[in-house]
Amino acid sequence: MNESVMPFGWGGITFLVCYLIGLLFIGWLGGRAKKDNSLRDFYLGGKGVGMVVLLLTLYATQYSGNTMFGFSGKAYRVGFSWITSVHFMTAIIVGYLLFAPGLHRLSRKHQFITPNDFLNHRYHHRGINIVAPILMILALGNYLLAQLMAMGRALQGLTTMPPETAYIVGVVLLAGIMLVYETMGGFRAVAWTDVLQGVILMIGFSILIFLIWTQFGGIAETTQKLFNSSDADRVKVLPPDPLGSRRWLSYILIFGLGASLYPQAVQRIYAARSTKVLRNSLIAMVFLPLMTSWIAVMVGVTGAAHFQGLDGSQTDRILTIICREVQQSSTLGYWLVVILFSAILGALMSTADSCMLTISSMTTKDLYLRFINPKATESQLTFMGKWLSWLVVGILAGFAIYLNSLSSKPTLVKLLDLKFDMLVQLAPGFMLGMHWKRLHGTAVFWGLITGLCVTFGLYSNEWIQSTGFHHGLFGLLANLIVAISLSLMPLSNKEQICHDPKKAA
Amino acid sequence: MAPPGMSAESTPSSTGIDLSGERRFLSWWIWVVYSILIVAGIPWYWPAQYEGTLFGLPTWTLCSLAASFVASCFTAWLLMTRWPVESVENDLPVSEKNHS
Repeated sequence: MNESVMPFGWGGITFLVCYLIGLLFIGWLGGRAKKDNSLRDFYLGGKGVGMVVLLLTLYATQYSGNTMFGFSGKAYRVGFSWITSVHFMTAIIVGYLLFAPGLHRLSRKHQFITPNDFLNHRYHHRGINIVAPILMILALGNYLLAQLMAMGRALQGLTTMPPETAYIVGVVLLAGIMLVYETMGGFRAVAWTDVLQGVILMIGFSILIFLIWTQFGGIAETTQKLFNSSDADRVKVLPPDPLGSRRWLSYILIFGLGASLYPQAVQRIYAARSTKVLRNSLIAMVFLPLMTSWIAVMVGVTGAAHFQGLDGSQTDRILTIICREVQQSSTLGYWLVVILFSAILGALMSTADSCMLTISSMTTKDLYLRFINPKATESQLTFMGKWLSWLVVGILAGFAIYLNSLSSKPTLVKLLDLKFDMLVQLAPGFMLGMHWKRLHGTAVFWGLITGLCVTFGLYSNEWIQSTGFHHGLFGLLANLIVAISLSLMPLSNKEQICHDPKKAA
Repeated sequence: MAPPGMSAESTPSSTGIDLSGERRFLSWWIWVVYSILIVAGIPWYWPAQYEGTLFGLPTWTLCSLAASFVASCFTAWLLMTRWPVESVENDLPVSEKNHS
């Protein structure tokens, strides 16, 4: 089975080139709107963004290559049970209820730029200031890597180049364009390109649902086809077994507590111009899983019914296989696929550029400024942050190309899971710390270390895998036990002074 | 029950954080509602070989989606009713407040 779309003709390629040039133009406009050379201006767009920009940047950032390729691929493998993704994407917004209102207010008062600025403000703990940024950078690096790999896969087959070459060109070209517009305009460029990418993404998902309906006879036909299939495919329309149900619950918990702490999303909480803007954006966001993740599930399930026999990382290409089918059907189908591919590129680039900017901000402000050169000026830091982005993306692009050359390629959802196992360990520091004043820095630090040790120590444990729950949740349990126990212990006088700024003063 | 150290009437704490505004999403009944929605949304209670369909979809799928939709509506309602928009003064950075 051919797993690529048909090469685009001149019309399609011209459309994509115009789209990419449009992104560069928006980046240039973002650069012109720059007010000063401060970190806040470069990383958060100065005084913040309004409702439309915030909503679309949140949307374009949270729905990524994983949603289009990874979710449809997973739905191909497990069937309707991947409605889990609708639940866990909703859980992210529910997770915000636990800390976003307080975090936004504090960020306005204290001019936070990076997620760790809150942790430093709350705990003043050197260990947290080292471990938390590194943890977030690693998690985001993993996410950025997944996006870069998806970019390469998206470009495979668009041209007449051999697939391996197309993959490399895709990674290098798209990463290069992102770097250029981000360097020119910082957060403004990223957020404004997200508006264009978010709109095209919404159009793309609408096209997808239309294609499924018209090209493959609707969902009723898909369901019946799967019911009449062999046992391996029939299970995709049946309710999940007990293990599947536990895994479902695990996804809700790990996304609700982990994905809501996406560092780039936390920075968007900071970047909201006002409480009203943030609140209204979250209200709109909470309904988007039903219009986005659900469509990705439909794509995967439709693929499972009509294109049986895919395996492993091949399943992440089900969307391109469906596109090829549509492309061949008519001129209208061809152009719909061109627009859909622009949406896919938009989804990938908008997530990747946000990760890139956040990694850059955390490396410069949380690590370089705090530990290496505390006397650096804001313009020096901004300059350094721009070039750090090039370095990080260069390394990860090389890694993405290397991973693609391996015979056993990792699936996109596997990469996604790994990130949340790490991020969820920050939940006590942000969520519990926002409400429980007795929680102190030493407790959070040792909880974090314990959580990470348990998570990675148990990674190949078969019993843990058989429970259906993510390793990160076992780590989080250990993390909470340690953090709460240490916080409940009476503090020595010296420790009390360390933890109480008033006494220290 | 509130954890030790968490008073009902909160004031700016030693950590510099005023906790009064953030607790409005911590009422126990809110999380009971979410728990019920999770229990209803995960299709653990359907027979293993259930083949019923509604509107072309497996029925258990529709139930799950309905639970998700209710969760979305509930969250939107909570955000609208329990997150009052603060005044511009409260949104100002500390440095700007001191100058004004």
